[in-house]
Amino acid sequence: MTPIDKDYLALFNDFPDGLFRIDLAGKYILVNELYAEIFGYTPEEMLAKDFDIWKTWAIEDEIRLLLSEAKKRDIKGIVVRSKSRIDTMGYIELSIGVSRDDNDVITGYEGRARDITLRYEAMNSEVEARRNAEFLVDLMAHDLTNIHHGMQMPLEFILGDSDFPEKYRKPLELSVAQLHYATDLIKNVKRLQRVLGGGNNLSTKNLYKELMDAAATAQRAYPAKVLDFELMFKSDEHWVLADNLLVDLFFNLFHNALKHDREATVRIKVEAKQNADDNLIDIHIIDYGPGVPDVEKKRILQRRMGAKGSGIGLTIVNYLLDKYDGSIRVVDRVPGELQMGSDFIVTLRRGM
Amino acid sequence: MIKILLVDDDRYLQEVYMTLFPLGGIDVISQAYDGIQAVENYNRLDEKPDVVLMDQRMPRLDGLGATKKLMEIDPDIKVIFLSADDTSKQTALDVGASIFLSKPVQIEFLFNTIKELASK
Repeated sequence: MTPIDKDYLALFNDFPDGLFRIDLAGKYILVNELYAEIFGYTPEEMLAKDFDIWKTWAIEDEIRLLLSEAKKRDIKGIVVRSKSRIDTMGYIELSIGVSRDDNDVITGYEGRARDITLRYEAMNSEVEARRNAEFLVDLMAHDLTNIHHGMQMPLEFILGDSDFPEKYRKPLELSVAQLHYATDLIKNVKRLQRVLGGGNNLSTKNLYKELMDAAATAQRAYPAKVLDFELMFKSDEHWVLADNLLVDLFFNLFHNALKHDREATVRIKVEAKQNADDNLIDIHIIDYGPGVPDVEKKRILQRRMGAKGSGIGLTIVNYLLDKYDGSIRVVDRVPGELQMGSDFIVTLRRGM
Repeated sequence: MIKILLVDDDRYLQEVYMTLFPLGGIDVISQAYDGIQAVENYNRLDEKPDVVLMDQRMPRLDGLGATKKLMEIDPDIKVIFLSADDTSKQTALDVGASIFLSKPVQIEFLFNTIKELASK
């Protein structure tokens, strides 16, 4: 063996992936140790007379198609089922092309392989676990909503009776309020599920439309209150970078305002102002409610996973802002006058 | 009294509706627990309901399937979809539901919606 041959052989055997060469019939002509190890053999065993790819690559039809395709072009990174010496199934990531002689005639195939069984199984387990979790959340949300519906209707019917004794009215109203809260919680869990499960496809959104849609949804969630909603800019004036869940972000902020303001008419005014950074826009969501205590201001806007149910709406807001590379802060509407309401300042990236 | 056909696989909810609806001036003339039964009951009734109150998720045939079949029998039928699954809203309206409501719904609102639809 020449020095170059020895070097080549060392390189061949030390290569970090399995390397192989097969003839046109699929018989192994050359394999390195790592390749043989994937399947639980030694190189010598794989180069024996009666050994071929059908002992190592599963699904015959797939393999024939693969080899046929490899004659037309090099194939990179295809996942193939594999079989081991002890008949266990696995997955290998294969790159394969043809080998030719000096007359450019195809004499066989050569390529490299990597055992990705563990990675593939982990990926499948993760996909299945996610699917199961989504199914269970959906099932529970659906059934709990039905239960709340069944509980709420009789209680509200009783409360609607003017002859109902006044001394029992308050406890019953508290029960109904808890049911409303439970319903909101379920809806927000479903929204959060969408936020966490969604991809990252941001596009340009019309800010005016998103805010109007969110306000309409918030009003429907509180039919007993009147949402006095005012947008202080034109319908085609501002565009932001977000996704289809932007409306949920604003909905949760409006919903909070409606929930905490004890008045029958809840006023919300929205202004949009240029941020010091030209690429950003500050959206001021101004309410005239009870305000947010200073000790709460920072805490509530940092809510993420693991927080208790009462802040799930703001959890959604925060996750969405992470996704949009935005931010939020809250100040008093009138500086120093907590009870005059709040100004939630949402900063988003401008859309082109 | 306004006559309705109630379709929901949740037996507890059916009991709640049966208790409350007469108190709100609504007469439940038939109950069904799945879409197939809804269509069968509708066909058997001599006097047809003014409104059908339809749930979505049910065994054998869901609300969407039942609404489609009922629309084939009577294109003027009035169906209120009342579902805990709001992802089916647009499809329900596309197959012919007159109104889609998301559970839970306030009882007075439900009464008024049924009465308004029945009077159209």
